[in-house]
Amino acid sequence: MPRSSPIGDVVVVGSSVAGTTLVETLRSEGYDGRITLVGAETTPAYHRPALSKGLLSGKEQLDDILLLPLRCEVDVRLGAVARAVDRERRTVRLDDGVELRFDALAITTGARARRLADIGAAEPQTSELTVRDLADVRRLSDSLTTSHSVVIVGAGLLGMELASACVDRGMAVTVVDRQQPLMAQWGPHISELVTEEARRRGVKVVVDREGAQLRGRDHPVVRLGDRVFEGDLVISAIGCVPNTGWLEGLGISADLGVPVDAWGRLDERIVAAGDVAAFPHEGGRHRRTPVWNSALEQGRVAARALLHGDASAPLRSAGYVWTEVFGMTIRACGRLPASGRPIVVERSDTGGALLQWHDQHGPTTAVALDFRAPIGRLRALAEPSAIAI
Amino acid sequence: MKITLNDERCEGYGICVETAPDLMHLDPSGHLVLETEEVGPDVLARAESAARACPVAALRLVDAAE
Repeated sequence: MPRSSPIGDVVVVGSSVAGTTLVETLRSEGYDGRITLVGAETTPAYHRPALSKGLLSGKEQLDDILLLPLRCEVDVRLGAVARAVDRERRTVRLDDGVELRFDALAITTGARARRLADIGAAEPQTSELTVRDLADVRRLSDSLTTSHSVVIVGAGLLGMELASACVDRGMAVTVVDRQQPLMAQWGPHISELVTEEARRRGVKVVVDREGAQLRGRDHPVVRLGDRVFEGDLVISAIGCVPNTGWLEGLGISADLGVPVDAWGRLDERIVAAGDVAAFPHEGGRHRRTPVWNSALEQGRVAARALLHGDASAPLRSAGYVWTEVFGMTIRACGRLPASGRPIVVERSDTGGALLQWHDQHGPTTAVALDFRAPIGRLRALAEPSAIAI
Repeated sequence: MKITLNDERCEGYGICVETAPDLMHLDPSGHLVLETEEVGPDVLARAESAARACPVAALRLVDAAE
């Protein structure tokens, strides 16, 4: 049985999937105290990975992808932005001046798109297009109908998924990055497969150690050394930055995210989960893993840590990530990027393959390439790695 | 309540199965199969959790009367 609440009132700041999962888990674990869930967006939470599926093509509405509302007892405050937290007084101050007192605080404020302007690589006042939330996708969806060419800065997951969607629409697509597509995320094997298929479909992939610069206010172009790339649209897809601006009172620095232990704890009263949280990683460093399944895993772990402390299980992430690009469906569990070459565990009749990487200690990573394998099987094939902790 | 699967959306990620293994499974070809459409009060919380866990919103819960 759960201990009768040692924690009193819980305030959860951030109402997307990590925060919602955290609240849901507190209740399913038997916590019966007061919970307040604060969300900055005025729309209810939605399934973010679904944004790029139907909404971008204009075929679906927001209603189709809304996250099922919490049915449990919870005070939900949408359109409220947390401005500051006071650790001593245990309060969160909202932008309307309201102070919420907490016995336990969960930080699930997520992340926002990183901009070239953030890293000093954009001319001042250049309008910069990024793709992160519902409003971005709606704006992009409108722009795409009148555009014939696009330059995408960033060849990571988002950049390549956008490139794939745009080339499918018949647009001329250029992708620029310092590294080969998906190299930093997935490693050389998958990078080569995706790059080859992207080029075969007509995507111009430009890799240059020189960082891209955004220039020109009204009609931005991308400058790379002395080369200039122009398109009807220019999109920045260079990752995300954690929403930690309100956490100065906790001494949280801007870039890293909230550094927590393997239970998601900053201290015994404060936890973090999802895109804003940096969990311990190999080598004693902390790392954010801003992907859907991590938000679920971390939300659950952090809720149990608040209720049960060390008696609860620390995070043991499956490291489950996926992408769908250029007609390929690629899913992985375990350590990424995967270095070296995989072995083929199994091939499907339709040309797919189940791949496995090893190091000197055994299997580290499993990838299903156009191959339907349940997460449990992928996870088993990626054992016994240190698995993301 | 009833749980419904939108086959067109489902990609077979299997996160729902990890969340509620008593309510659904992936068949050998990786397609999601619901054990039952009816969701009683004893399993409602798990069914809701599974629906929320789906990255692409392929699972819905609807009133049985609808």
